[in-house]
Amino acid sequence: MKKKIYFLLLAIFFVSPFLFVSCSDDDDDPDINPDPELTTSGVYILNNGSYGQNNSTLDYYNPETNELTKKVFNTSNGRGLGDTANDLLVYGSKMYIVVNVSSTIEITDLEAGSLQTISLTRDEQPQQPRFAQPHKGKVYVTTYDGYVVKIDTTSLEVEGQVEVGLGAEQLSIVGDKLYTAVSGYMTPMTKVAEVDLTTFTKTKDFEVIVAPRWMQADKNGNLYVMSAGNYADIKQTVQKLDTKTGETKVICEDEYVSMTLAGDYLYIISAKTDSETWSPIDAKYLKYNVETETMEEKEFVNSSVEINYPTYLDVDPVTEQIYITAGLATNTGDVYIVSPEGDLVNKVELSGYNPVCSRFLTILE
Amino acid sequence: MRAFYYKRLLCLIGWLLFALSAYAQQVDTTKLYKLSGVEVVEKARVSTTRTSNPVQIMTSTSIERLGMQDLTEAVKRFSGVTVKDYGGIGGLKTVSIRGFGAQHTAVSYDGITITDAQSGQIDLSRFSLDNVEQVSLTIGQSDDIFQTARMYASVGALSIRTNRPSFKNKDYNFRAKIGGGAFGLFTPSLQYDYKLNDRFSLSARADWISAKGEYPFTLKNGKLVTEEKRTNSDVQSLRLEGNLYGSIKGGELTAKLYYFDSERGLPGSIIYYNDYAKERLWDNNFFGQVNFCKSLSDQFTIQSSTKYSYGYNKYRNIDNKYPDGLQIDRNTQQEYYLSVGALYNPIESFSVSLTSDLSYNDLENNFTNAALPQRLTSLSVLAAQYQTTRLTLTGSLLGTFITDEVKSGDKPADRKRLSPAASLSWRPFEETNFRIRASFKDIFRVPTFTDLYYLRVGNTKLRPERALQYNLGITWSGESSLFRYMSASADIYYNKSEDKIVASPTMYVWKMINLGEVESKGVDINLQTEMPLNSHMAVLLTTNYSYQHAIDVTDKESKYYRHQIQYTPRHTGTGSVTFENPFVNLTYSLMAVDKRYSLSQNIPDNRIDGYVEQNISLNRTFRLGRTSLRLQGEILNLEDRTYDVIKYYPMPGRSWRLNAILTF
Repeated sequence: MKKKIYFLLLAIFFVSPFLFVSCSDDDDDPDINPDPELTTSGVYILNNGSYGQNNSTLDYYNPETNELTKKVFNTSNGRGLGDTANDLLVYGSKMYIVVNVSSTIEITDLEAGSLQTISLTRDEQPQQPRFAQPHKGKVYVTTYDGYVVKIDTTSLEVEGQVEVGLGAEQLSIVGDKLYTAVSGYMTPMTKVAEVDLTTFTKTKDFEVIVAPRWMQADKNGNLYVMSAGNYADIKQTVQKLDTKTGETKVICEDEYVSMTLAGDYLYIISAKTDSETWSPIDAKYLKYNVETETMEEKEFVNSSVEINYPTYLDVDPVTEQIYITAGLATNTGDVYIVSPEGDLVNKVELSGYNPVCSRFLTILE
Repeated sequence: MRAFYYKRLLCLIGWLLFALSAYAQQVDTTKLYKLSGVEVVEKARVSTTRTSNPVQIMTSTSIERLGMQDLTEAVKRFSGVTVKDYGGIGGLKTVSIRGFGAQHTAVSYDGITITDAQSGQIDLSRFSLDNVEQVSLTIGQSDDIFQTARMYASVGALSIRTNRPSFKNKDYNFRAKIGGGAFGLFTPSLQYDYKLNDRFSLSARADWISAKGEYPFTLKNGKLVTEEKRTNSDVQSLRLEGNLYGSIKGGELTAKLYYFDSERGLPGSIIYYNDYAKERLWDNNFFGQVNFCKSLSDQFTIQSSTKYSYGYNKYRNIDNKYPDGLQIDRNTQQEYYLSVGALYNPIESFSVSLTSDLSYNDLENNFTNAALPQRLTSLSVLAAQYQTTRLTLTGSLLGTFITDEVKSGDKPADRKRLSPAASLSWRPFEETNFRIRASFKDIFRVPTFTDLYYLRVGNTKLRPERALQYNLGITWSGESSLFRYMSASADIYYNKSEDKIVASPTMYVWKMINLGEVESKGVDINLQTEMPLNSHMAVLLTTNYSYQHAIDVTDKESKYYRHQIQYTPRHTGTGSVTFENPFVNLTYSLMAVDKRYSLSQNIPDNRIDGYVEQNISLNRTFRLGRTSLRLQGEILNLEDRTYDVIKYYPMPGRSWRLNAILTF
């Protein structure tokens, strides 16, 4: 954890096409390795916790030693993250932890030491932030009350807000355009909103399947949107949205779907819901090539690897190892690390409930 | 620090046990309790040591002594129960028995159960103790076999009995109370009883509770410790009640009209870095009930009860994440209820009863595509009892039939079931009051409307939740020159809960499922004594201790297999000492509760620290002819400790209350 990160700090979000590279200001005269190689120095895993329990935690995994350091935010700052942390963004030399019900953005250094806590409010109400994405020195955060909030990464202050629609969820940035899923929160909607970042105004809406939640963009600017459906006749669906034509194409639908995009592949967990326990069963691990628009024949997790209640997944951009978080929301979660060949590398017990994302710190050495 | 309090409590218990050993025993002289028409309605005070199931009683005298104002305060002092208290005057308060869910506890008001088909649990915060004559808690099946069938259909019953007016050389009683306390508490009430003639009398009462409820508390977030204030915890509630008591042709008639209206803020759980709280709840409840009981002969008694109940609640949350910045839920419930029963005493020591209950419940709300369920419930019970001065044997068989209708969506299959219960109380030695009791009950609860039909969360495939109870206990009571009265009981139990109905998370929604098996083992010990010092002064002591080992045995692979279930302390103890004298009656009471866990997994993050709460109550009554004025004051949470019963719902620190009660 305290290992000196000396040359370049590369912060990679799961949208690798928009991975942002920045030079650390602290080190003026780094030792330059004649043949630098990108490696993953650490993995942060964010645990959402349980609603009303103020038990969001941040764990740090060292892939070299296979050791997990639990609750690093608590240790670094002597206080908790708050209630239901939903997203973590590593951008430059800072991290942005989006805490939904506490309605805060915790801005920290790369060792999770707090630099600033922003309480997001509008009309004296907590806005309940959901997801964050970076673009040109700004961080954009979506909120449940329907806004995209712009935060300056130097002053660490909110610079503006633009209305996109209730229950704004995950967002992607393509060129100077921002796209966000508009779920409607409690009153399901069918929109993906587009915001022009040069003017910071909403420019249009796209129609997608009801209750869009997650989205990722590939390097060609296509969006992959996961809609939660209506829990009845409309299942959970991963669809491709062409932002030029507004056309959509269904890639996968199931009673339970989770996805992430890495390189040219969309990694999808597709499962059934057990009618007795309502838990996800019979999970399939699908790998979709977004370039060729075909589903790989081989699943990305071998059948010999048994994962109990897989929920979310992220891919290490360097090693291509897949971090699959798992567990029922009634107990602390686990992360299963799976090799690109589909074998289990490690299973780690996490400190908190509902692990939601794994974020990777990479360096050139 | 906590250990110190447990020691203090143990000393108190030890002292009482010592007193016991030095005590000269006397024989139980209790006469056989024969049911007659009048006695059925106005039961003689049950001796808690003679019952074949654990019964705990709090009379109006003890309630006044301890200075209790709401029902929860009384229930918290019973052993074997866990009270969930969300804090403040208006916070939800429910009671669960020996590791079972709160939906398994029946709550009756003057003999007829109060139901909530929607949530299945009764919020105790809406009952005041002002006009209550007796609160009793029966675990298992009561020895009174002549009750409504509904009173058989639960793990245990909390019975609230209001005082029935008595008139001495006048035809009216008047009682006025004015009360107040910390955090803006104001509690006035009025009661007027009127004797119409030799056969009929009336009683009418009104009370109002108003509280700001903005109490301070200390919030600890790691090393960050801040002084905060609870907000949006105000409450206003009005209660009106009218009773008619009468005798018609040798039968006893009681009728009641009840109205409750309240508005309260819901402060919600403490959320770090966000103190926004704008949820509000409006409750409106009306019911009318009539009970008639008559002895047709020495052997034959009949009784009938009927009730209509209407409940409305409105929930509102102001939050911009909802369309138009507002979320409003409205629910309306109705119940029609009829119970008819007969009791037959062919010989003095044997009685048999047959009772049938029929009820209809419906629920309407403003949700789109709501199920709007209607439910017809038929309960019939056949019970028999053999009772002599040394032996009581009771057995019952309850038959249940339930059918639901819905306006939209799926409906569950009809439910039919037979539920047996049996118990005995035996005094093995003629010369002592020592008794052994044993009981068994196999009961279940049907899924509530919320469990079955609530938007997305509900699941119509749910099976009823089964509850098995076994109890074995010893009791003893007596009196001597040193003790005016002493009673002691110790019970051990084993319970099992199968097919527990729990909310389980799926990917994005919670769903009600049958998942969960809980095994509970425990011990309840109760001791009570009264020691006269001279003709004007006495010391009264009560103490109890509960041990609850209630563990989740659902899944061996789970991370919380054999962990103590949520919100259930292993150890709980209460004690009180009263010094009665002609000057100022003084009561000191304490309650010690062990650590608990807010979620299924027993990890440090989920732990809620144990606590000790100490209260002091003082009172004095002034009399002038027929008029009496009682002044009463309490200091609650003497040590000003911040503690949680429910995690992140802090309880008030030190506070005070004052009451003046005028009667003539």
